[in-house]
Amino acid sequence: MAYHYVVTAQKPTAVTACITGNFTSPTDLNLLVAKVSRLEMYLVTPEGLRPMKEIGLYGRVAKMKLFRPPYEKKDLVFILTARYNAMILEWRTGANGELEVVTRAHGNVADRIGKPSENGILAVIDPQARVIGLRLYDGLFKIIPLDKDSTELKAASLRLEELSVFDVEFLHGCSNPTLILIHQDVNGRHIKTHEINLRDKEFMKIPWKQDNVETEASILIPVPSPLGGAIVIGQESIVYHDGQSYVAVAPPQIKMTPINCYCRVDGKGLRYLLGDIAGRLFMLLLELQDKMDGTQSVKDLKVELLGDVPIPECMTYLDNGVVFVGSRLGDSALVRLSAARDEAWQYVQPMESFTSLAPIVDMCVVDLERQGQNQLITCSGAFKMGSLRIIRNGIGIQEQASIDLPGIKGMWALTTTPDSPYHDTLVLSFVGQTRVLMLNGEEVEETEIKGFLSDRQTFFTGNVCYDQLLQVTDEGMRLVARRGAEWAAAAEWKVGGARALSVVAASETRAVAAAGPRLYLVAIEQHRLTLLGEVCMEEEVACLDLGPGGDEALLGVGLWTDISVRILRLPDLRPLHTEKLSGEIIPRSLLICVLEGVCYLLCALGDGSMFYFTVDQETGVLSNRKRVTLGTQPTVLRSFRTLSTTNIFACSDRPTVIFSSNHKLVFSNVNLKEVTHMCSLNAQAYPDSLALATDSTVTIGTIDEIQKLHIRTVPLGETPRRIAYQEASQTFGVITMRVDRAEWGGGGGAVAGPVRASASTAAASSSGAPPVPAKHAPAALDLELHNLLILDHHTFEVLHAHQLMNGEFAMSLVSCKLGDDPNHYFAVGTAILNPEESEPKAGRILLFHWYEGKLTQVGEKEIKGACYSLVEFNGKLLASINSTVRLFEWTSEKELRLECSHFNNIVALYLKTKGDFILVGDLMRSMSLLQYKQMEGSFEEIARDYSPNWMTAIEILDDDTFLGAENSFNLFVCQKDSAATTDEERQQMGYMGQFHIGDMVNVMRRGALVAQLADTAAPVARPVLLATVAGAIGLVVQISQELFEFLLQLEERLTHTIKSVGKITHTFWRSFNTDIKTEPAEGFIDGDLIESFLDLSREMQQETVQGLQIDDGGGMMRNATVDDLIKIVEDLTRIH
Amino acid sequence: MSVMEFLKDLPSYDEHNFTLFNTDHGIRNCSKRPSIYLPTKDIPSDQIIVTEKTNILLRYLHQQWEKKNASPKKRDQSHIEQNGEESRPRKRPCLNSPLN
Repeated sequence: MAYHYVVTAQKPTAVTACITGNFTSPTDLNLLVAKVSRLEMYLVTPEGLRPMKEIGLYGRVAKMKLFRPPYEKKDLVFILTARYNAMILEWRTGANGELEVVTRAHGNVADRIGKPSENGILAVIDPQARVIGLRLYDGLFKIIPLDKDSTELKAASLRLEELSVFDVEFLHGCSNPTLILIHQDVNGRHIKTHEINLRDKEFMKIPWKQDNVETEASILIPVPSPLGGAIVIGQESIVYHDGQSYVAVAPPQIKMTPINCYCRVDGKGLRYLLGDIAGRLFMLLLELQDKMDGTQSVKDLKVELLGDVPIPECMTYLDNGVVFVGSRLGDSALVRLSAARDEAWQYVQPMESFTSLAPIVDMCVVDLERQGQNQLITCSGAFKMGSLRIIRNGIGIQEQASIDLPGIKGMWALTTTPDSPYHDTLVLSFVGQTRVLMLNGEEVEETEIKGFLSDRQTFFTGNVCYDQLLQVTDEGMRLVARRGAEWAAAAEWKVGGARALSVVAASETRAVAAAGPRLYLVAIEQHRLTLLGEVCMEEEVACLDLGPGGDEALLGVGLWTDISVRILRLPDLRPLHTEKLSGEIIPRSLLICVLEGVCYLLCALGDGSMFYFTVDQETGVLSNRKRVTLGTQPTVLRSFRTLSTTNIFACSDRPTVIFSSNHKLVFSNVNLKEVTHMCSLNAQAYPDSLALATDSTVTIGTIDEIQKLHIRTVPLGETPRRIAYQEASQTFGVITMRVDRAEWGGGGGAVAGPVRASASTAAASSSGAPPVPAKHAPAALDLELHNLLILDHHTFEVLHAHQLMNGEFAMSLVSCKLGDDPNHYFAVGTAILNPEESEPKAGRILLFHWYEGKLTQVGEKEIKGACYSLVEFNGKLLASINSTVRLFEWTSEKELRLECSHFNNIVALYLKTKGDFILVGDLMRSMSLLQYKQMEGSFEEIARDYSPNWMTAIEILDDDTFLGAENSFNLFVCQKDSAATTDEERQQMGYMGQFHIGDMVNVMRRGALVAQLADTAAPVARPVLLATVAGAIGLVVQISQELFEFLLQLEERLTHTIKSVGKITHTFWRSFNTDIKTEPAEGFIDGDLIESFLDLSREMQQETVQGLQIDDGGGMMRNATVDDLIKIVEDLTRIH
Repeated sequence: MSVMEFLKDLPSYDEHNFTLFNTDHGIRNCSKRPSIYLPTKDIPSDQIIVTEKTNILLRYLHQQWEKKNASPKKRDQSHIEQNGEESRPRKRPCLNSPLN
């Protein structure tokens, strides 16, 4: 058996629907955004959008509409999920002032029979909120009359003559609810209205219709009363029709690209915003004329291009000219409309962007810094919004201010104002000098402290007892005390002998400094420094730190030459313990601190690695020795306090925050490139902050409480399709697709040119097919051009663009090293498309070599089909070409030679390999496992899953276990049974798990985003990262049977503790569901539900844990406590 | 017509909204996610949406049968008027089909 835990590391980011309304109170103006299965509620405020609450639904939002029944003061939301769960939700403020969501009505509206409409689900609500209309299945229209007084809302199906319906709406101002729809038959598209008799649940009559509207008409906009009627948006024309008359226009601006969404601007319905699939925003204005009878009618329709916005999926007008544009293909945005144009001649200005990774088409997991910390580079977005996203896990520093100051060697924060709780001074030390910065509000100015030495490098300074300051330099220690309002030097202690002080540690009352091998202990008294003792160590002191304990504190000392750590006890500096560190690298920084009641000694070495121990505060004995690698440079350890807990900051080329959780040290990366020194800073203008120094600047910032994913964007301006990393050349290969538009030239032929500058047109150099005159008919104005881009792995600069032939599509990309050839190549698999053929009949495999800034094509192999995927396999190139899997050998003549093939697929889309095994993902025949017989040079099919799954991604988990994702948003795990007795049984893969993940998985890669560091390991294995169409990133890991069974119990309890919004059960949501079957989830733990345990109140946690049994470690079962659970779940949250 | 006319007097719900939105430092990037709502209180819903289980053909036949049986009796006038126009058998070989 195999047991798995699946969890979301990054929630979906694609916006699928948005509406503006008064949801949270009758006066609040809210924006409600749907991101696949999550709803986000925002409040519109003078400062912008304020996030209020996020809700996870147990279903994918198919339609989301607002309505307001006549008896309500607020808007309600109707949601229909893709699995036909309908719900009416209300947001209201609960008894404790917290926002709560009430499910006013819920139910499943699926029919047992019926052909789901190819045009998707349509849902409309009568403007007077009398009825909800749903078009779910062809030939049927479902109505839900909104009867306030009944406890049941009875949905009924009506027969709809029109089979192919493209859009449907309710008309305004009708005595009976009246539908208007666009439908298509053999003659073209038509609009038709239907009046509904709610009592008899019948269509009564057809008030009016209009045959033969534009052939591509696809959007209906109902116009509010008193005008009434509807606007029909086509590809080239816009028509207003009110039943009696119509006005039609064909604005030239909209001709090029289809309109795909709209939003109404004013309540009267005279202005609408239209968005097209190129991301252009238009305004449509209805011009009125007065009629004889005093009413008004539409005289004309005007359309104006306002400017560029993200490619919209949905839009909604918020307030005062501000519009939210939701996108599925990249970042969504808040934009402002203004009558004055900006520099770019646009009437629309971007205000705020909302990061979205959607759709993630491909990704690679790389450890760029080679330190065990993976980064994820995704191919995200499409068309003008195409980008690469660099995603890494870590703690974020929110920068508040920065000062350019190179060469900082040390940094301390001081309080110089009497009785102030805040720091107001920052002391910076440099080689041969010390500078003092005063923090005056948000301003920083250089100042002096009288009595302070400014012409020497400071090794330590701090506030000490009796309201004094201590400064330690190479020549000795100085005590600076208040004299009236001024500071003045009060005492001085100079080190004797030839050696200068080099390292120091101090508490409020004691200072320890070392000069060479000699250690000096100095007592800090009022206006006096007294030498209490001195000892000579065997070797020179490299680093030291004082532990807690005042006069009898422990002292940790790191020594040169013998590379050891000594523990001494104050006041007589009595040696207690010696710990030899292995290796030759000297210790550079030492820290003793107490975290969660446990005393630790940490000792960082010059190579970026660190030892850490627990310290017995009585005996000084070090135990539980552990070692981790933090960076590659000498590391400086500093402790700091945030939110009343002590944490440790390791300054290095890879800054790390170390904190304690459940009595374990947890290491978390920080989203900064390099930090050389740091100190805590709690100034009035910068409370609870950190000051961080790099080689050139000091940054003041606050630190995130928790680690999370950090996303950096590299915009490409064209669609990225595949990515591959080549370590040898320190580059990424990226396949992109650019759409060029043919312009009719003077010579009569068309010349295609790029629409805008993008990665492939702006590359430093280029090669490949030159732009050729388009051979397409004038109808095909857009030309898809595929490029292989070479990007630098640090700067992500596009070094080179290689353009493929016209009509040639790049399908796959891999970096490989083949045969005995020492070079690393990028292999690109292509398909040459002919619009007349049902599947590609030709393609190429191309090999490129990037060397010394030049791209050379070193190999080319013509193939008979599309090369859907490429993998390096035993030094050879494995390709899936249409229905076949083929292995190519790279001969010494530098040619690709076919070695063997396998033919038993419909379309072999995906390949993954492990050793001699090959997992093949088929278009519609699930997965199969092949074995490569090296001796015979042939493939053998070992096992196959015979279910008809339409695959979207596959991965090998271990030798016998395989993970698949299919296109109804499910995951499943298959296992081959090598021990089966008959051949037939062996050839059949068995199901070990199935789970509805609720999103389409496009790509799976082995690896994790979190480095497995000594103490942090949750008992999980073989992580696989998933990325989805909606921009989500997930993680699947294997867990033990014991943990699985325990978590399953917790999961079951949580489904009772946490009430589902919309009353969809967790079991229903996670059940494996396709067109042909629905089966309960098995073999997977829903990590998202498990992790929500941590967000529950203590009482609810207690209630959930009640009666849960846990193994106490020795095989005995006992009742689990809340803390047991928190510990287990927190460990699990740290795997992503 | 100038664009001014398109964009003048844009609707305003509260004139203060977005007035303090600061774009001096370029386009803002919203990284804040709303806090997560985890309902633990069971609030019963007022209404349940139920789907009529009867086949629409059966429902239609039932309706016809009921009409046939009920119409000669009381409430005859109104019923006949209402159903007269769209009595299905007459509408079936409808004029619509050639138009479609």
